[in-house]
Amino acid sequence: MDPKKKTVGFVPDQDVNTSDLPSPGSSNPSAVNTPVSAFSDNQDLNRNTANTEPRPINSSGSRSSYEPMKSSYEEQWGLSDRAQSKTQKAASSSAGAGAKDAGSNKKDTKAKRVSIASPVNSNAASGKEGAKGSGLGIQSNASSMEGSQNGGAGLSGGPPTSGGKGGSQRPSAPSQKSMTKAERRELQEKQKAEKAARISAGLPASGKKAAQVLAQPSSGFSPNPSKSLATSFPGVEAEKAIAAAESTGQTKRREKLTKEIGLFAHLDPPKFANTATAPRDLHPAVVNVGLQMAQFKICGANARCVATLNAFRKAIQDYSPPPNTTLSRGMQGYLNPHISYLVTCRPMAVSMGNAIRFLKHEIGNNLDLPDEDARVLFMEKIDNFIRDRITMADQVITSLGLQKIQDGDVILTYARSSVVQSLLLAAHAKGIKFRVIVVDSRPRFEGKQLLRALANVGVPCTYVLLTAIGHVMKEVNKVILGAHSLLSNGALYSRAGTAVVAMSAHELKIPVIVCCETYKFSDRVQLDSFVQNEIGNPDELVNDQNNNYGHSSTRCHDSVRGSDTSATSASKGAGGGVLSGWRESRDLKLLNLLYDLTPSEFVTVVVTEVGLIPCTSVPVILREFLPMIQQS
Amino acid sequence: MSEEFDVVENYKDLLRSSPELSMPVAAIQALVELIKHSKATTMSEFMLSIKDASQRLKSSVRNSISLSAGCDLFLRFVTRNSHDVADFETWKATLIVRGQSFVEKADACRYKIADLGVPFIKDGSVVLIHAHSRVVSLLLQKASENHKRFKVFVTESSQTQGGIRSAKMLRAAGIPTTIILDAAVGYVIDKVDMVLVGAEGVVENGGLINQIGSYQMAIVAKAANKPFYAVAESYKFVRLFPLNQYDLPTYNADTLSFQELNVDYEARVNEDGTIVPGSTAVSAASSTALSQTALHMKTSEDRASQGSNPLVDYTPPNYITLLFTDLGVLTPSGVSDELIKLYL
Repeated sequence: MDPKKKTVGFVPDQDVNTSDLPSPGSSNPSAVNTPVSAFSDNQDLNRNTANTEPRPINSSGSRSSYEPMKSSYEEQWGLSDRAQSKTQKAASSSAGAGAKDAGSNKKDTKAKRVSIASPVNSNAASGKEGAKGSGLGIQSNASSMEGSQNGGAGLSGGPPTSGGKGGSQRPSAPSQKSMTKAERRELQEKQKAEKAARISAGLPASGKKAAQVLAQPSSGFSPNPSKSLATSFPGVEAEKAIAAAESTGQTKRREKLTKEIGLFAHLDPPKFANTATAPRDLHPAVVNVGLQMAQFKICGANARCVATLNAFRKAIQDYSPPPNTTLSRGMQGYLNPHISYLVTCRPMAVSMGNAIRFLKHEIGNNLDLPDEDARVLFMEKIDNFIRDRITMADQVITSLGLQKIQDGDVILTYARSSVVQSLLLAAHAKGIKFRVIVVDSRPRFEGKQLLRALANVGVPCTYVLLTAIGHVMKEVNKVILGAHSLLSNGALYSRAGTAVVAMSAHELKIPVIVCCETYKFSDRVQLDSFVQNEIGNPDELVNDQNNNYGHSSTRCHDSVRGSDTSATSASKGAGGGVLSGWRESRDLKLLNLLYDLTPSEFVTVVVTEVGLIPCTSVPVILREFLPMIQQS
Repeated sequence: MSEEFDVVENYKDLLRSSPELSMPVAAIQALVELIKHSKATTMSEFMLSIKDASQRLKSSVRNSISLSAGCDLFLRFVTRNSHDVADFETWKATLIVRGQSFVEKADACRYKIADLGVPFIKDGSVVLIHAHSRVVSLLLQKASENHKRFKVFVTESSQTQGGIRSAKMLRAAGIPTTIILDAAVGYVIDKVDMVLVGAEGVVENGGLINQIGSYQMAIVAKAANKPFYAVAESYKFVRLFPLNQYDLPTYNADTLSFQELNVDYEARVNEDGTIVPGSTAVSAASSTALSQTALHMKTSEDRASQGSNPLVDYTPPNYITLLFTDLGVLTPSGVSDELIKLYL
């Protein structure tokens, strides 16, 4: 029972995040009441309704610690729990490493946060008297017990998603939640590694926390819970679990945990910021950029490319070659771990790939230059690349694109592209009278940024979601889209949803204008979105009601905090809508593809810095034009 | 500068003196003449005068598309060579020589295209052509000379009556030819084996700018699964990228505008001299004789609104099967390849 109490004490802190609060209530009456009231305004009806059902099931679970595990869920749960314990071990160790890494990088606030968060995890884990496996089991037990108690008491506020299987789902969820919340707590209170002591203290701590918990929800639609839900990276834990599972060679388990989808098994699973696995000698600037990209703080092909190049520039600036090599030769080997680190953070963008290829090409061409000359040369080349291929290119694209915007136009655009945004702003600045329809979609809602930028300068805007595309397309006379990449067969590889927009425009014979710098052209050929794509964090799809009110900028902001908590997935689920228990549901998988492929016949024209070209001319540009640039 | 030399006048003289000359070639020839008369002493002054002249040429005619193709090509030629100029005078001389040789070769272009296109005309086939195009007529004449037996439908093309001119030429060459109404394209398309049109300009995506009516022929041909071939000299490739019909440089606010009601149009028609006699929207319903009477029946409003009718339309590349050019037989995307090579 002792362990239970501990876990109970633990739970309340965590619940900052979400609905779990009810369970603590069982052990602590005062807490019970408060969460309910808090929920009444803050939490969704969903939860309450959902909660009512699962309880009976839970109640069947006996209090003795391990019994419940033998229920029909046992397989799933047992497996996942054990895996999680491993995960947590791995997490604690990796977190320690991560902390060290991050700690070395004082400039990087994010890194610091990560480091803070991860020790928390490890502490929490170790706080359970070191016996992690048993500790976990106890936890899950305790939670199930709580669930049963709740059911008996008829309190509202059990985990929302549990549904029929609630009992099974619960155990794991609380444990994860507890981790998360603990982390969050720590962040907020800025108490660090000493948490273990507090945990052992048990109830008193929980009481305080419960009080705080109460305070937060009662603030009405307090942004914090929703933000944390939206931004946290629950997958972190899953990933670690995967790593653990892999290490033990249990691939079956892996599949179950990742909820991998057969058709997309060849794609990398979603990645999460993790400095733990990174080699030690990475340049902090690159580490920084990698983390930011993993958390989607840096997002968009141009932004990622510029950030990467600038980080490499710093790395080159600070690089001193080992003895007996020139800087260029040393650099060749030096960059590779950086690049592979970036790939571990998030799959490489085509733009980054091209830029890095350019850089390597330059290095390879100047192997025998004196060190300082080479350093200056490479830095200058990077600056020139950013200037010529991105900054100036965008300006030229903007001026060329202006030719195609006339008075009275109704322009539709999807999500947000930096080039499209500057084009529309320039058109407005030029005095052209036009209207913009911003089409947006879950889960990232990138269009809101564009909408804000346009609305701020007074462009008449309409904002709709992708579902309304058929309706709004009728009044549109031009569609302007951004691009992640243009492939050699003329296909457009861009944010998921672009293909639908282009297709419906094509259907109505509305010209589709794509703005794309030539450095994003790829010599790849792709016929569908399956061969190559990027899988995003599936949990982004889950928290419907929360995501709908957050927009990406605040989400990004929050993701700093959210990502730190490595165990948020379950707790997050508890705050979400009907999908929140998806990880526990045997047959439910979520797929969050980030890109899709628009066939070339849906694209009327591509605006590039070399002029307006049909998208089938991509290989011509690659063949004829780019060599010219590289020579000059 | 070219105060004493009027490019526009020279250009019009050239066209008048040799009707076989096409607009872009005449424009280039006029610009070469300008260089001959140029008294510019510095590079920038010289470039300025050429740019100014080509601008004046373009604005001198209502439909400047093929003209601007020639001007742009020449300008590109001049600027591309301007990087490595050692001696200004000799450079001018080479420009003149090159320009003249280009003009001379322009004629050969058509013959080359005709040779390339002849194999596409099968013995016993029926060809539908639109209005009048020198290069299309030449191609058909060549085919006839090669003992191909085929028949031709030619649209009347009511705005310029070009179809009547084509029919005369083709009959003279011994090719059975029937003039059809512009509105009868859909009626005859099932009897037709291929559609052949000329071009005023070929745009960057491989689309076509041609006399009004080409687009609807292309649509009909596509619907009937008949091949639609365009025939164009490479100097008609123009750096334009129209998104649709209303994105052409010839389009303006007056094009196909709706007339205000209760306005006296007589005055407006008089000052607007662009109405071609016999160009009627109504005449499609009738033979020449009928159209005469129709013309009499028309109110001044009708004639005023005719003035706002477009002269050219744009055929998107997806309707075009192949383009016969002097660079070879190209797909539409092949055109953009060539243009990119030329202009980048």
